[in-house]
Amino acid sequence: MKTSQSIYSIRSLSYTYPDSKKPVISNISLKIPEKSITVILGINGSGKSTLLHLLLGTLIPNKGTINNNHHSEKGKIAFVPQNEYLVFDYTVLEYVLFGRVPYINVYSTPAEDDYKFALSVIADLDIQDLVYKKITHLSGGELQKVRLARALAQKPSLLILDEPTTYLDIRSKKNILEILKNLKSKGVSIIFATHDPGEASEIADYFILMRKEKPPYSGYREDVFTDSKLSEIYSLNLHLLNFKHKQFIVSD
Amino acid sequence: MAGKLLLNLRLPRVISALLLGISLSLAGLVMQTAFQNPLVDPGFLGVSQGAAFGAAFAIIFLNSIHFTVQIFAVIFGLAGLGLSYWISLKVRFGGQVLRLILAGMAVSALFSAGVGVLKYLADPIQQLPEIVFWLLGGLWAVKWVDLLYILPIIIIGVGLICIFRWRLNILILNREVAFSLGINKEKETIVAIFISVVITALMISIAGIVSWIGLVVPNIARILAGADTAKSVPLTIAIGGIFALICDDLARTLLAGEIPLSIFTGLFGAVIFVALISHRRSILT
Repeated sequence: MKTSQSIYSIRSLSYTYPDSKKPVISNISLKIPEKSITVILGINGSGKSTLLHLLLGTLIPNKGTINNNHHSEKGKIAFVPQNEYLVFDYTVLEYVLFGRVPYINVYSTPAEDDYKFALSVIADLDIQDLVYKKITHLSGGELQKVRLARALAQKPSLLILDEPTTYLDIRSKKNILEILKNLKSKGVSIIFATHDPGEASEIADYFILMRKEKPPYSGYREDVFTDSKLSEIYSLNLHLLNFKHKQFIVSD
Repeated sequence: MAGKLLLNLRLPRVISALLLGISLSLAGLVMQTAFQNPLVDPGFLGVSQGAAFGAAFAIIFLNSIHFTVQIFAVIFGLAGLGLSYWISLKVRFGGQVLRLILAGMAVSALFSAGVGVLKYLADPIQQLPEIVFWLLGGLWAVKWVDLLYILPIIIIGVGLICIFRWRLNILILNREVAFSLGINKEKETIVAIFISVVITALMISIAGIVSWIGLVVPNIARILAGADTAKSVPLTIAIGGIFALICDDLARTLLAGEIPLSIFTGLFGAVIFVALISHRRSILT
């Protein structure tokens, strides 16, 4: 069995939104491993985003505890939300520099080092040609990479992403997944929510399968990513097929 | 004689015009950034009408002492904004921005109705002219004493916005993203809006309601300098100051008598605004 340190230990966690009676998340206990890719998988409305916000700390649990075992330092957990409302014509470089906020004094402007770091992140993601483009003029795939670059400019040790590939075409999707794998190999822990089991299968090491009003299934591939459990969470008959060392999901 | 004229009449007026342009434009920039909407200015959200109501109230019921008028302008300016925000939470349709603007319209209308009542109640010889001056907007009556009361706070407010000119950018970030960067976005938004409402209301307390500057100038600055507030703040200050100074000079010199300042800011502002929205799709989308 794989043994690694955990970044989060969650114990009997429940969460109910203030204007609702039903808990979105009930009685979750699990550990999320460090330096791996954890995928939170489930249908729309199964509480994926809520769980991410609880992990991030913007929501406070009603019951139970979340222990964050590292990353207490400011800015070490980066977050890429599902979508952002962006109106003003910032250039890509200006926008990526926002990731440097934890390293810039409140009354200062970005220093040369911040520019250098932002540009190096932009180069890592292979989007140098976008540096001076306006963020309001980018394609969906380009914008997603730029938002990822902004998160990486924080120099995070943990990256949390909410459905980062939902609106992307297959090529851009592949591209984002490659970037995430690459980050993992550099020691960054990644947690990301998706409703696409194919995508989860492609990159995840650890799985959290959200179930409505029940605790989720969580564990490594062989224990959790199975026909019966997938079929249960999607209420469909799903089968995993192995082909060229990859798993594909088909329905009846 | 000429020296005295310059020192006692012209100089306070020139300084007031510059400060008026700078304060309204900067407040507009801060609000547009905080609400992520290039079409917002302090007047849209009940601040101007609130401040006018506060000042008119002080003129009638508290017998118009500079300091009291200004305090009331600030308090009611903030109340206008607070009320707009509170009502926007009750609106059950539309996005956040539409709700705020609808609420702001309602609050502005409410306060201008209130100003109407105050005008009706006012003593027609002593108080009414003073209130009417407010609503027209203008700097002809500004004296050193008016200016000196508000100058320190305006300098502090404008200075703070200058110091935090890059930090202002973070108001456009999603709440969770801001949190992950170690920022309490609500807190910083409230501080930024509070500063802009205070400088707006103070300027309104000596200049009356001057429209359009706060809406148009930040948009021009953004077109020229880009969206980054580290660059658009200094440019907003320069353009805002010069724009108000030119309008005030025209108001003073074009005809034998004074022309209300708002006529020029409205005229130029509206023309520039039409040019902006017809040439830049992105301002509205």
